[in-house]
Amino acid sequence: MSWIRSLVVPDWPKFIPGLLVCIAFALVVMNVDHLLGKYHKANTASIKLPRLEQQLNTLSEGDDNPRKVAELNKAIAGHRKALEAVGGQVGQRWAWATFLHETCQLSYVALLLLGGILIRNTVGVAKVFLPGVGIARPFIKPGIIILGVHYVWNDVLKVGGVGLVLTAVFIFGTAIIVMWLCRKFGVSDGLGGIMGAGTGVCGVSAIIATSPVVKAKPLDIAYAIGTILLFGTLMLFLMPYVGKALGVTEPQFGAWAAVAILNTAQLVAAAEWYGDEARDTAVLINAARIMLIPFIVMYTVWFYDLRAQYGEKSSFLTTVRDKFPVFILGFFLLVILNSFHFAALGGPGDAGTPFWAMNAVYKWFFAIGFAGIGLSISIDDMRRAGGLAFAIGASSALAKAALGLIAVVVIGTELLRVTGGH
Amino acid sequence: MGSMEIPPKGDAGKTAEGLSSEKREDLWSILLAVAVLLSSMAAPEAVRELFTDLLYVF
Repeated sequence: MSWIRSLVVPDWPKFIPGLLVCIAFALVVMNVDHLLGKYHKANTASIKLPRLEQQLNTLSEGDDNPRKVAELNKAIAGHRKALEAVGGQVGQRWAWATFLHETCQLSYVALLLLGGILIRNTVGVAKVFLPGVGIARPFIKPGIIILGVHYVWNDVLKVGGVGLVLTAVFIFGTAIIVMWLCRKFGVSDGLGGIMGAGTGVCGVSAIIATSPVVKAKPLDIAYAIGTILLFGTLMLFLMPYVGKALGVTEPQFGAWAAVAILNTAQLVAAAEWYGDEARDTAVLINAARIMLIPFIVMYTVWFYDLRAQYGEKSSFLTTVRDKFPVFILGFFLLVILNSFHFAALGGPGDAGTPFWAMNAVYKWFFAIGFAGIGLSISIDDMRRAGGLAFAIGASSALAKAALGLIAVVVIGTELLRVTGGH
Repeated sequence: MGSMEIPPKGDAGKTAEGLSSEKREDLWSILLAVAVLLSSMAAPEAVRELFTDLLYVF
């Protein structure tokens, strides 16, 4: 019973107002995104329908290709439905929707992040909402668990295996270099240790996990978190544009984001922004990555030679038990259930089944989490991150991003593509 | 997240019963996912309609 009691968040009422703000913000933005998508589809339909109908007439007269005729009929029906959804007719134009939705790529992810940053840094977020806004970010976790219905075990072995090797090399490579540089340039062990873990592995989670090991001061923790978030925010907005400019495929982008962006929420946001395939690859590789957190904690203990003080109470097994991200077990459980294709559970593409229903839910959890991220990004807080540790952390993370890009291009798209059993 | 407030995570965030806030987050995530799974098993059409249709109010 005691562990059930400990599930209750201390002082939970103070989180409610901010959490409700995030839910409301997510609801509004999801609706705006839906509206933009609807009018963009109608605009495309209005442009394409006359041409498709002309093609159909030409083909019907010839009557030599029934398959092509069926395809055209299907496409025409789809476009008519899109026009009906907005009560429009052929000839009407909604170019603004296409501009915002397609040209500017204003998906719900971008709207929540940019909108949140705009609100936080202009009108501001009242103090009463701040605790709840901070607690909204972890809503991405149930979204990740539910996303497990997109994968089958073969994906985990193929993409997850490549991802595990990729992230292990980059995680330990970055952590080793950052810790070594921090020590060489006289940065304190506390700050150097958490910067190394933070830039190498999972951002904020790794910083929090390693901070007691290296006895980091609260200011060090704030400083390292600020650096990680500043870099993650920059990468979150830059990488999708760099990826598009360089012609990086969606699975490659997903792997790149999982290697280069240091925070789970930010990398899911960047990959979701880039496309569905990118998100699927990024989430799977991230699952492999965050399982390495206990190992980076052990490495930090070894690097700073703190075994004498810390090792007594923290064996390898207790570190794994304390730092292992338990929620990822839920993700893998759904992957296993999806791999068995149980009739009672169906699949994400089988209409009327439980997994088909669940497939509609994860985006809403992501939206609440992204609302929390956007509303939490304060430019004033970001300015506080600076100095030598920031320079070392940011340049190492930048090098990791560049090398990560080369690595995913070399690995190629197919090894990184999630099939979902298809 | 962007705030410099230090969340009570890791060992520092442990409650008297020894559950850190990170673990608590994880367990709540699993409970929420289980709730979604059970709802989807009980009424898949209703869950699907809620999240693809009813919540889109405009």
